[in-house]
Amino acid sequence: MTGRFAPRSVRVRLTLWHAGVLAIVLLGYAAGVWSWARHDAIARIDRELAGDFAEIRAVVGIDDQGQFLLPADLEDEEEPGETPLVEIASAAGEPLVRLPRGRAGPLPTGTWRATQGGAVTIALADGTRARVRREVVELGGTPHRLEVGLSLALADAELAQLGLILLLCIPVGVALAAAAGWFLAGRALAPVDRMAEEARRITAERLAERLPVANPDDELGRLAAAFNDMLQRLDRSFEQLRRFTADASHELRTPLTAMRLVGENALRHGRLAPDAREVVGSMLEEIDRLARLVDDLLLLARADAGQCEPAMERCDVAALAREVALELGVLAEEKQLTLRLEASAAAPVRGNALLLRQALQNLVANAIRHGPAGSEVRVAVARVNGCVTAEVADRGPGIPPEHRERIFERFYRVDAARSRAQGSAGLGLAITRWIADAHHGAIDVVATRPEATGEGAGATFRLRLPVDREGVTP
Amino acid sequence: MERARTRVLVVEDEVKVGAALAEGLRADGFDVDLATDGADGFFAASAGDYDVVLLDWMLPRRSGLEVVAALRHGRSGVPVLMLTARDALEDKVAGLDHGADDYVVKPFAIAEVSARIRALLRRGRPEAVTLLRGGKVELDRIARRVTLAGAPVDLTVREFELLEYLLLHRGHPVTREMLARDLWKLPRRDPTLDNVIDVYIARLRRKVDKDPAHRLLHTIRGVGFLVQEDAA
Repeated sequence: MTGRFAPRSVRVRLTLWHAGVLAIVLLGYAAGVWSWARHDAIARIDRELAGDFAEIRAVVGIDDQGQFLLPADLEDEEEPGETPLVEIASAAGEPLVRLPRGRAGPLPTGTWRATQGGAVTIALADGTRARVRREVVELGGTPHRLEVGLSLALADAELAQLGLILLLCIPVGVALAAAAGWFLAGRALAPVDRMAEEARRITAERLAERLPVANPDDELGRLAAAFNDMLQRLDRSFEQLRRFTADASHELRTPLTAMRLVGENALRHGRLAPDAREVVGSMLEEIDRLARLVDDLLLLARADAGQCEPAMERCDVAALAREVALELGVLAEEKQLTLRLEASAAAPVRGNALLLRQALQNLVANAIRHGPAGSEVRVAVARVNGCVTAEVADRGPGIPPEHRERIFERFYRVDAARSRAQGSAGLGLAITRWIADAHHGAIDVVATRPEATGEGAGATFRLRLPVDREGVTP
Repeated sequence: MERARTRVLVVEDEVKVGAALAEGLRADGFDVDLATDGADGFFAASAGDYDVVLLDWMLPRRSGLEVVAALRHGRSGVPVLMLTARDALEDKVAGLDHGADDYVVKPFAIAEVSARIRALLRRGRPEAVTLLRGGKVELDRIARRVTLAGAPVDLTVREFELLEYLLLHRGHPVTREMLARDLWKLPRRDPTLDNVIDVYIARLRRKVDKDPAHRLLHTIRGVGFLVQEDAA
C-alpha cells in the first residue's frame, strides 16, 4: 500500500476535505429539495382548498325551516385526510355546523379573520395541521362565518418521510464519496510515493540515476524534473570532489614517494655521519606517518563522497576479536595488562573482515594505550537482540561525558598533548565510526565504572552491528 | 643460464621518482633502464630483454593496466611489478587480474622493491634452503627449530616466522611494510602493528641476539630491519 493512515498524510486530508464539502453540498441540496416539496404540497392543497371552498360556498344555504343545506358527499367521505373540514358559525362566532360530524374540536379560531381568498395553516386539536380558508358569507340573508379546511396530515407525513430519506441518504453519500476520495487520492498520490521511494534509493553512490518523468507537463512531472535538476547539480559537485580526491591522492603521494626514495638512497650510500643518518631516518619515519595520514584522510574523503563500498561478506566478529586479541596480546603483556576475551559464541555479521578487524584493533589498541599497568582490558563479543555487540572496556582515566560524542570526530582529542605524544593522529576513532556506519552499525562510549568519579572511570567502547541471519541454522 | 646482472625496466612518469628508484636499484646491483610513459614503456618492455618490469599505475599515453594487459596479450611472460597507490585496493586486484605479478604501494621503500624483484626472479623455484644461518643462529625450516650457538632456543610461532623472514632476507633490509604484508597478511601497516612488530623484534633480540659486541639484528631507522653479521 502506498498510503499510510497518518492523520497528517495528504491522502487523509484530501479525503476529509472531499467528504466535508460533499456533506455540506448534500445538506444544502436536501434542504432545497425538502422546502421545494413542502412549498409544492401546500400550493397543491391550497388549489384544492380553493376548489372545495367554491364548491361548498355554491352549495350551502339555509332552507325554509332554517336547516342548513349541505353537500351530501361531504358527509360520507371515508378518508379523513381527504375530507374537507367545514365549519359554519354565526357572525358572532357561535358554531352552527361542523363537518365531518363527530370531529373532535372546533377549528381553532383564535382571532377569527377572513382570509380574503388566501389560506392559513392552523394546528388542530389532534396534533395535525390543516390549511383553512375563511370567509364571511351571506346565508339565508344573514352573514355567517364559513370555514373550509384541508388536513395537512398526509402531506406532513409525506414531507417527514422525504426529509428522513434525504437525511439518511446524506451519510451514505458522504461515506461513498469518502471512499471514492480515498481511492482517488491514493491513485493521484501513488506516483508521489513512488518518487519518494526512488529518491530515497538514489544515494551518494548512485547520483547518476534520475527519477522517471512520466509526463513532464503535469505537477508530478515538474516535481520530478526539479528533483532531477538538483540531482544533476549534486552529482556534478560530488564528481568534482571525487576527481579532487583522486588527483590529491596522486599529487600528494608522488612527492612523498620521491622524498622517501631520495632519503633512503642517502642512507644507503653509507657516506652520512651517524647523526645525519639519524636525521634522515627520522624524516623517513615522518614521511611514512604523513603517507599514512594521507591514506586515512583520503579514505574518509572517499567515504564522504560515497565512493567507498567495501566488499561485504559473512564474517564472524568473535573470530576477528580473537584474532585481534591474539595479535595485540604482546602489547598488553609489555604493559602488564590483562587482556580478557569473552567471545565464545559465533557472532556473524555481513561485513568487510579487513575493516571490521581494523575497527576492533583500533579499539583494543586504544584500550591498551590508556589502561594503566596491571589493570584489565576486557573484550566481549555477544549477540544481543538481533545485534552483534563488541565491547572493549579499559580501566583508564575514561572520557568525560562532554567529550563522548565528539571523540569520534576527525582530529578531536580529549587531551591533545598526551594523545599526540603517543603517536595517534586523531583519525583512528573517526575511521572506526565510519566502519561502523558502513556496516549499518553504531558505536558509542560509556564509562566502564560510572560510579567511579574522576580518574579511573575507564572507557567502554561499544560497537553494535546488525547480526547476519542469512544461513543461520536455527 | 642467468646473467650476472638483472635487467630492470622502470616505467614511471615522475622523473624524480624514476631517477631515485633507478639509483637505489643500481646500488642494489640491478641494471636499470627508465621509460617515462606507457607507450614507451610498452615498446621497451616488448623489444628489450628485461628480467623484470616495474610499472607505475598512472602513466601518460597508456596506463599501467593497459601496458601489462598488452604485454600479456603479446605472450610476454616478463614479471611485472606494479607501483600503485593505496586508495585503490580493487585496482591492485585488477592489476593482478590483468597479468601483473606483484605490487608495491606508494610511497614504497627501495628495500621492498628490491626484495620483491628478487622474489619475482626466484618465482616458480621453491626455496631450496632448509637451513638458515645468521651469526650463531641456526634455523631449521623443516623441523621448525632454532638454535643459538648449538643450544635450542624456544620461540613462539610468530617469533619463529619473523626470524625466518629476516634470515631469508639476510643482507637486505626488511621494511615494516613487508612484515605487515607478508607475515601479518595485512594490507597496510599502522601504528598499532608497528608497536607489535617492535615488541617481537625486542623479544627476538633478547632470545637470539644477546651479544652486544656481535649484533645480528639491526634496526635501520626509517627503513626497517636488517640481519647482518657485524663486521666487528
